Amino acid sequence: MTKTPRTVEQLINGIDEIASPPQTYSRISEALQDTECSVATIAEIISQDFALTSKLLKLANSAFFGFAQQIDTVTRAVTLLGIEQVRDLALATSVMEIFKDVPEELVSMQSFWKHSIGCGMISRLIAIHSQQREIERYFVNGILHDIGRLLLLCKFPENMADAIESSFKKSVSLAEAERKIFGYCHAEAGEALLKKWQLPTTLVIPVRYHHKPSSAAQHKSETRILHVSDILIHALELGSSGEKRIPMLSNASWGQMNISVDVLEPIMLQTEEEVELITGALLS
Amino acid sequence: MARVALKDLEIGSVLSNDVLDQSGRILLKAGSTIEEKHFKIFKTWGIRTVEIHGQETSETLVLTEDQLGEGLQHAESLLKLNQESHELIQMLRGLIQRRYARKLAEAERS
Repeated sequence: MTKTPRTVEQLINGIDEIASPPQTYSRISEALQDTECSVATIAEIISQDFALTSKLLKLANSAFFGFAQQIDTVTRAVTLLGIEQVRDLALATSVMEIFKDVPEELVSMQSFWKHSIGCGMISRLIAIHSQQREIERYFVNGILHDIGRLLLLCKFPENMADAIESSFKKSVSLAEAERKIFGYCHAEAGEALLKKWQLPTTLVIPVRYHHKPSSAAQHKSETRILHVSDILIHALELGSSGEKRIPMLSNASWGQMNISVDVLEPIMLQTEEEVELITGALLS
Repeated sequence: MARVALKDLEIGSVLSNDVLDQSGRILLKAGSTIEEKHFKIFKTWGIRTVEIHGQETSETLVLTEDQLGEGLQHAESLLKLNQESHELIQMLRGLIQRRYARKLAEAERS
């Protein structure tokens, strides 16, 4: 078995290809530092990234994102959605390109991203239902929630295979099995990566605490929504990030969510209906 | 083409227009065939009527006790890390059971 880094910091610092966030995301973030940054500037940055532009327009025109009008230019997307939301979507659509070497025998790339995208879709729908603002970041939270696990799968496949097997045999969560083997779990690895990329805490905290939402000191509502969405996407059995069972629900967090069970089933079914299409658009 | 109220809408009908929620977001596209799950979606998002091409009915799948039993076993295995009595877990158990049983029934039919 491969020797694993002892801390998440050593893990993150030891992998060159993840040293910086997707380039277009960084360029948009940099441009946003300028107080005179305009929609046109952002649209131009995105337009230079052909793959991203095509995916972004496919997403914006999908039934799931559901704008009544056709969005045929990036400028229109930025105007309708807002700069920050488009930047978040740009992150979501380009992060998939960073990880290419997932060992297919453990989890296929398609399956991993379908799980994450589905989780983001459920999060976004719950956010709409609970009248949250800036809903696209909920979609991004779902896409990023297991990114630490993807890292572990790519870099330490044997150790992860061991964790998957032992979690199933011992009936413990995969996060717990990871902690036994690595000394940290995928949520901590994800947090370290997103911090290195200097992403905002609205994206980092929910990823860190998606299995322990009551420990989040900030962004509690986003974290709770992500926690429940992860459970719901597992229950739909659409895609997988390696966990074979449905993660444990935090009763305390559920109690604070103020959402009825009755609205969750339709949200799940709507996600099921459209997840193939969105996954296809993002992985194309 | 006819506009029908949800209570008169039948499974198998085909939408002639997109169904939009109050903010204009598309919930279901024109050309989609109405399935049981869509009723819940429409109710959740406050849709009272939809436009359809004409009422058609599809054969409904009948689930056997064996299929439902296997479905329940599958659901309980998936939910092993969770508390059985929680309302959300109970809802998920039923949903996973039905979906699994339906998959078995579809596989047997084909």
